[in-house]
Amino acid sequence: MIQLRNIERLYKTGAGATYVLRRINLEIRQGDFVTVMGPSGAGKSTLLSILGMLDDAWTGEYHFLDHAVHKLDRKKRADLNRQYIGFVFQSYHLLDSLTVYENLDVPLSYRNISRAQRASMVAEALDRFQIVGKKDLYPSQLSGGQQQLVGVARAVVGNPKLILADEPTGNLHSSQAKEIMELFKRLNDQGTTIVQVTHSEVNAACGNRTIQLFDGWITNEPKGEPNNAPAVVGQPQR
Amino acid sequence: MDKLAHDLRFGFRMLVKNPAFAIVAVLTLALGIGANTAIFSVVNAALLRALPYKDPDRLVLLWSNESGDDRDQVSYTDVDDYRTQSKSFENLVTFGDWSATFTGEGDPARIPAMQVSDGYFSLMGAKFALGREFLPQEQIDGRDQVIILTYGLWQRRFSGDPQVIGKQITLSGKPYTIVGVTPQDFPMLPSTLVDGPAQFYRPEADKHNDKERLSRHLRAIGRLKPGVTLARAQADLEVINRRLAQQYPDAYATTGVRLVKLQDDIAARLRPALLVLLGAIGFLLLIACANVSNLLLARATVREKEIAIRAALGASRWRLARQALTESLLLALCGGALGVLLALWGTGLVVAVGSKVLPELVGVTMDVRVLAFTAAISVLTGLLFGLFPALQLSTVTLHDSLKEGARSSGSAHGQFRKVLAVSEIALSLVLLAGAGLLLRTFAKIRDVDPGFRYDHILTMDIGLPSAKYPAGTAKPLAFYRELLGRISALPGVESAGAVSILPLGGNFDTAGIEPEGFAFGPGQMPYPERYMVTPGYLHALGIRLVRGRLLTDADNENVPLVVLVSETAAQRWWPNQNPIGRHIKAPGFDDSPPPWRMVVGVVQDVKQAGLDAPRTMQVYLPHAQYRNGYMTLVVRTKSDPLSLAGEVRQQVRQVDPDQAVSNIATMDQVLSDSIASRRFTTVLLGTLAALGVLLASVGVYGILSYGVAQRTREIGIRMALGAAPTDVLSLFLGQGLKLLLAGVVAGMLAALALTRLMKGLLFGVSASDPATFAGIALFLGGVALLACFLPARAATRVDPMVALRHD
Repeated sequence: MIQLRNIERLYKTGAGATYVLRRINLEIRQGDFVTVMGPSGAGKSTLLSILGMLDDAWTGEYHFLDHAVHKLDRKKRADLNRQYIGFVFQSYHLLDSLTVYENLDVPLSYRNISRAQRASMVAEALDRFQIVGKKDLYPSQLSGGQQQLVGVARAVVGNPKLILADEPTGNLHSSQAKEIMELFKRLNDQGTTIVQVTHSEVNAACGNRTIQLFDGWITNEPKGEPNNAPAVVGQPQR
Repeated sequence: MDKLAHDLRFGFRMLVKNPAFAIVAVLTLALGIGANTAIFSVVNAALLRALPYKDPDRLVLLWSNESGDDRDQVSYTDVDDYRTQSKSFENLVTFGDWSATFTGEGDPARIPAMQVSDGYFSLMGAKFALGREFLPQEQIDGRDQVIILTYGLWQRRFSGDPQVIGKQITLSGKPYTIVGVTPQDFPMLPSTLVDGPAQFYRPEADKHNDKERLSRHLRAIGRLKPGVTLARAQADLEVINRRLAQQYPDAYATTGVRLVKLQDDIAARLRPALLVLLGAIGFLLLIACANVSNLLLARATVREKEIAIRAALGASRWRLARQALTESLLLALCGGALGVLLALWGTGLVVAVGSKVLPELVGVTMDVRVLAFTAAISVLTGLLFGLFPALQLSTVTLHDSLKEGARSSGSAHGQFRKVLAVSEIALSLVLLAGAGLLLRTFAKIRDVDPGFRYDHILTMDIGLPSAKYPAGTAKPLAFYRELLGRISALPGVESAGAVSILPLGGNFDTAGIEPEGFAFGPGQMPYPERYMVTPGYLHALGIRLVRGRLLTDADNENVPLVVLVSETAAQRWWPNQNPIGRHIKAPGFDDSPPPWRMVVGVVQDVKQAGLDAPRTMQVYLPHAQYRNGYMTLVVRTKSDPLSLAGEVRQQVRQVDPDQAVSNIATMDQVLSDSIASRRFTTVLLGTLAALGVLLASVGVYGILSYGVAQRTREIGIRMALGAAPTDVLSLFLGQGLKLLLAGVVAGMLAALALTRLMKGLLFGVSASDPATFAGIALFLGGVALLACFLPARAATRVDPMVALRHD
């Protein structure tokens, strides 16, 4: 599904250039549940942004499904994002001025989908996540766990093939976190590919592969295969 | 006091700490307050400043009111009767314009003057620099050859000679004795009452004559006795007027009398335009307030945490609000101070544009009243724009604001900001509507056909002295025949003529005309405009012949009297009939009974009183059959008319070396001057409207930009969820358009209500002119759309990665 070759990302600063990602080679197959771990500043979120096509300023090759992303312009990348990818954020990032229903409708409104079909998709997501009763509430009227539930519902409402989750339980207490991770597991079981960034070993255990990043480098790749070829990295957790 | 000083110190520090904010706010306020101060200076000079006369409250003007105009002139006999029969006045005198050619002291020059009746100077409270006032016996024809110089003329023409009293000078060919010099500070009557700044005075030698009751060519000013009210004096005069109407029905059947305070009379002519301008600057100030209020709200959001900490440390709500208000007032006072500097420059500009219209503007200064006004509006402005932000700051919620990473909820700010944006658009639309209507009016007036061709025309006045060229004799006729013959022969001259009263020149001459077959009751006789013309005049001005023939050199003193009438006169007197060969009685130059004159031609109407004046009836008498001495030369040239002025003047000197010319101007200038007052109002209101649109656009831009900045995170989320740049653009553009639409609708409604108040300033366009309203809505829409588009486009450039890390 995803192949990254020699992906590099740097930020130009007054003192010179700072690399955030270095020679990332990575393959993610359909149905994987990949966890990206590493200390703060390791480049986890940047990697996620590149995978989600929110970041354009990288070099290397990125193949997504049958598309050579590195050859696409910004608009085509945005089209891919809209069609295949859902995002879940640590801070939920719900739109404060919209109700739960309207928040779920937002990503659909950016696709060429009729109003009736959107209504049906939102209704299905509300039902699936058992938040029908909260559809008219505003984010500020929900608990953190409920907000993240809406965040996940919003990420999957368009039936994406890939969910990118940036510390999805970072702001939740353990029971809420557990619920969200179980939800991810169920989605993964249903065939959705998931890439999550987390500091939690417990959350990482829900996935089937873990990538360790340190100072922009993948540090747990197999020996003898430095970043010169596509590599399947990480180890199955179970 | 300590607390106030502390608040001021802190406020000043906060302004210094945010120089960009302070500069933008102070500049915005300075523009608003400066424009207000400049216009108020004019209003102060024109309407509010005490008149520079002794006890000005007791000075009144006496007008006759006839044919709907309540500001008609009076005859000497009218005033003499009112003065002698009324018990309300200390004195009541007549005055009128005059001019004479000064000879013998340097080049001959035509100098504007006034003729005044007995007691004028004591009524005006003058103490003479030299000499004395006119004596009663000098108010009699033949003994009236005395003059009083103004201080300025005494200095210029006589080098301040202290021996000038008793000196004889020649005025228009007659000897006059100088009997007095007015003091340096003796004030002129305002330009609404006299044509030009009089440089000397002579006695008004008219005498009481029942036959002259209708010779209403003078104005009258009186001083009420102490304790007599205007109403009582008016009632007093009305009783006299009724008595006169019984005695002289011809003169008073339809002619009443009207007293008005001098100050009110001056104000009445200027008030409509100045009130519109005052309204406009009020709107401009409101727009400026809205802008600064928005800036303060934006800053209040940034300062929420600081305020929360202050509250947590024990500051009361009142204390917080007071601190915020002190900062607002500080801004307003800085804006006011800079505004005064801008106003100094702006007032100069207003005076430069407006002094032709309002000579009293020359020397307009910022007196204590203006400075007090500026200080008052500065404080008011500070309170106005600072109040809501101050209230918002004082109600900051501690818990929310002190939370780490908390975002400002600010929904009340958001709503208020939208109200500000809508208000700014609405206010600027009202300003634009006013300016647009005046502009359309101006264009309509410029499009009016004056009835003649005004390009390539040189004009100048010649006043032949009656002593040397008695009216009705062959002398003035011979002078003009020879002069016009010489001028016509000049290279570059197409044709030349002369007329007694130049159209649009600011003067008029009407005469009672009796057309054949009409019998008029008392006060019903028509008074058309009367022109004495040489044959070349109609050719030179290109006045079109409609029927019959024009005047020729053959229409001279030796043939039966003829006359031309205008289309309107012909239609009014002989509708659907051939007017050629009909006769009218038109008065001659003396008191003899008016002779019959045969109509030989009909010419198109010309505009006399103004391009916006209604059509009037006009008659043209051949100069050769009238032979008056005061005429205006009209010369059609092939090139720039002014380039021939010197040569024409030279021809005048060659015919008579003592003869001066005055008022040299092109007809373009004459026409332009006739609409100078409208141009003045249009330019001022247009400038204010342009400033208003500029401020409103900056305001809307600022409000939407701030909205984009506040919603960076939301933009990032939306982009992460798949929003394309066009989606983000349409989101913000849509919001901007909603505000724009609301502002335009509100502005339209307000403009429809308010422009009705300026009906009196409009011509050829209704106060709700659809084309003007549609035009300004489109214009403002375009400008505001640009102001919306720029922040919306900036929103599309938000980097979602950065936005999502915004927290």
